Amino acid sequence: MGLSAENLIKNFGKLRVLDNLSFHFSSGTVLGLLGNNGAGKSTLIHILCDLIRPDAGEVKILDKSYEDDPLQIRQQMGVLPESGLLNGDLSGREQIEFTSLLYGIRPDDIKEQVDAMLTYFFDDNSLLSRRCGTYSTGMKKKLGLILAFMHRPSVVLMDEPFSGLDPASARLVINFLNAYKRADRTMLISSHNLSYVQKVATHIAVLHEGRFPFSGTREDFTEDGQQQIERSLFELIMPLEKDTHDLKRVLA
Amino acid sequence: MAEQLLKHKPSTFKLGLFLIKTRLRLIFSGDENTALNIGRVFLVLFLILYSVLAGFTLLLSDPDSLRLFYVAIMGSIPAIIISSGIFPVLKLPTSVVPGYAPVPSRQAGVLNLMYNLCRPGTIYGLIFLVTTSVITYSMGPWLLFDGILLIIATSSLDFAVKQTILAVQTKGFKGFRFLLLVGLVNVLGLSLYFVIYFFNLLSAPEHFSMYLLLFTISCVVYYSYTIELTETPDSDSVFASDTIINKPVKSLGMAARIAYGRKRSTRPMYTLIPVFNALIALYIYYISDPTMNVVFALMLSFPLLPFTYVHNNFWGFFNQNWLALRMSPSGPSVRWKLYLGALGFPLLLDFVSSFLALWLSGVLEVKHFVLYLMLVPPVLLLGYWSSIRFPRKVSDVTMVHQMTSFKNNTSGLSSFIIILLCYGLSLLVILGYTMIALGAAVLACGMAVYLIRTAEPESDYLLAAKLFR
Repeated sequence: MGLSAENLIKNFGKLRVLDNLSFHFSSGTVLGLLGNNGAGKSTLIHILCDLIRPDAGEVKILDKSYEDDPLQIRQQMGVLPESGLLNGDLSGREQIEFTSLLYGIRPDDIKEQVDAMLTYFFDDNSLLSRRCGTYSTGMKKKLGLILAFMHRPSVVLMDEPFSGLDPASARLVINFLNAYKRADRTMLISSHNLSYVQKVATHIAVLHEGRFPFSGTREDFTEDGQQQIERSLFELIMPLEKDTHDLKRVLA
Repeated sequence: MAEQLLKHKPSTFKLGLFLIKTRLRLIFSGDENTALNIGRVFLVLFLILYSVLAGFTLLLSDPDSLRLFYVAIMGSIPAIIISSGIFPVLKLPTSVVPGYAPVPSRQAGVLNLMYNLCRPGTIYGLIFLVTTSVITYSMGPWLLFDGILLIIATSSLDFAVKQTILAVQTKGFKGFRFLLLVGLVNVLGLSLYFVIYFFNLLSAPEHFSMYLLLFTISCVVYYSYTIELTETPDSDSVFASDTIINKPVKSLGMAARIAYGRKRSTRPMYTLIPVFNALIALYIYYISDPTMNVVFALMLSFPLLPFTYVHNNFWGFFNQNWLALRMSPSGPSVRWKLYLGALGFPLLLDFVSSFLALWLSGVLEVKHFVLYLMLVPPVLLLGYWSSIRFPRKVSDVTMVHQMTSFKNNTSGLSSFIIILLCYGLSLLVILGYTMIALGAAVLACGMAVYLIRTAEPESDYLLAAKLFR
């Protein structure tokens, strides 16, 4: 089992963000996590990373619980957080070296594959000697992806991997993620960009009011496979009539 | 594959070495801008010169004035560190180790502490300390020991408090009351530190490192404990919910809100500094010789530290409003209003608490007022200058980002000048050289006005206005 959770509950003050949420996604799944702003997608990712604890319920990654062996789980996990993924004072190359040391990897051992990833994602590698604080959003995101994948993790959690990317870079990322898919690897992609998500995801989960009103394969989600994913999503979380009605009021 | 790669455990030694190496590099070449890097080198040279002077002053002074100079020099260490604008005291420590990295929390805590201790400001403090200690080696190693303890204790205590706040936030406690408690602990802790420090220095002839050592150990233990408390290293997510941190701002009024700019910060705690300064001043009065004017003068200059805090942390506010202010025809006057408005509250608090302390101590003299009045204009002007420094030409939109970096990297220099000014003028007035001090203050004002005028060429506004029209 790649990712699973039982009866997750998380409250922020009076707001219940996750409400008895349970799911089971086997290895090999690429899960597209969809939902409105504030639906709790990032909270769920933070709980899966053990950055925050749920108020109730349990998470299992690769059939292991954080209570049992947090370090072993983390060693096999790659994370691309939405923000704060790089230290602005370090250069890109230093960031890579530091991350490899954090994972107990000698930088020389993965030099070849890191260089290959750098060449794949960046046209001009010389920029990587500059401080990360000076990078554009897209550069930061691509470097963050390299950091998340450089140790070849079995589980990867990505929060908005496509935000801030130009179409060409997004295509690079999509192709990369598709190439990384394997039966023993699980990926979770939280994103608002539905067209990108449907190019990568094998499964879709829609988070709304703390629960998954839909969770299943991408084909199931889009009915006969032809219908646009956006329409399915809007039907679940925002009825079209409300949209039209509200717009009329706004523009009145 | 992951299992194949992960043959080794993360080594604290290697990671620590890596962090120290990269942090030290920042001291001399932290920027892509060569001029700024040259400025950084000059700053270090200036610092070494100051350290040499301080060392020889200690070495050559008679036994009676030795203690006072010792106080001044030891007081300079946190001043240098803090004035660099990047010391962790009262600033959220950076977590260099992500919370999801496969590193035990205690190891991550050690690395984070190491990283934060190696901030340029702290390195400046260490350069000062080591240089002074080398020159005064014949007097024993006490200066070095005390200085190092001082740096570790204040850093640990600060980190511990911040870690506690993070834990409160992430664990969802009812935050406000807890924050007040934490603030109280912070203030009491720092007060205790300085009380022990000054008490032993002024009242006892023997060395006081053992007291400091005990206090430092307790701070580090407190910090070690709090490492276990935090669950997230991501300050963005930590402060995502607008709960505990904002409430003190509300209670302190609109001026403080402007001063601290952003809601999601621990900056409201800064307003407690003058209060704790005043408490210390009172305490020193009761435990020491009431004629210790030099100490009181130094205490009087201490409240000016919030100025530097505020203007250093003014960047957050300024960055967000830079474009609007830049394009507005009334930009400079608006900036002045914002700047003075932001400083008004801490200034008032400093003034009231400092002079109340002196009055209650029965040592209030006219020269204290004179000193305060002398210090305020140059400090305000220099602070204002440091908040408006921009490159002369705006070539494209990316320059905005570079300007942010530029300001942040040089703010330490202006703060440093301000602190030196505070100490210098204080000592001159106390020693009776009031006219020389006044001349120095006027000179500093003139220099600041010149800097302000040259930093604000009208063409910048026009260029920016064209660019963003």
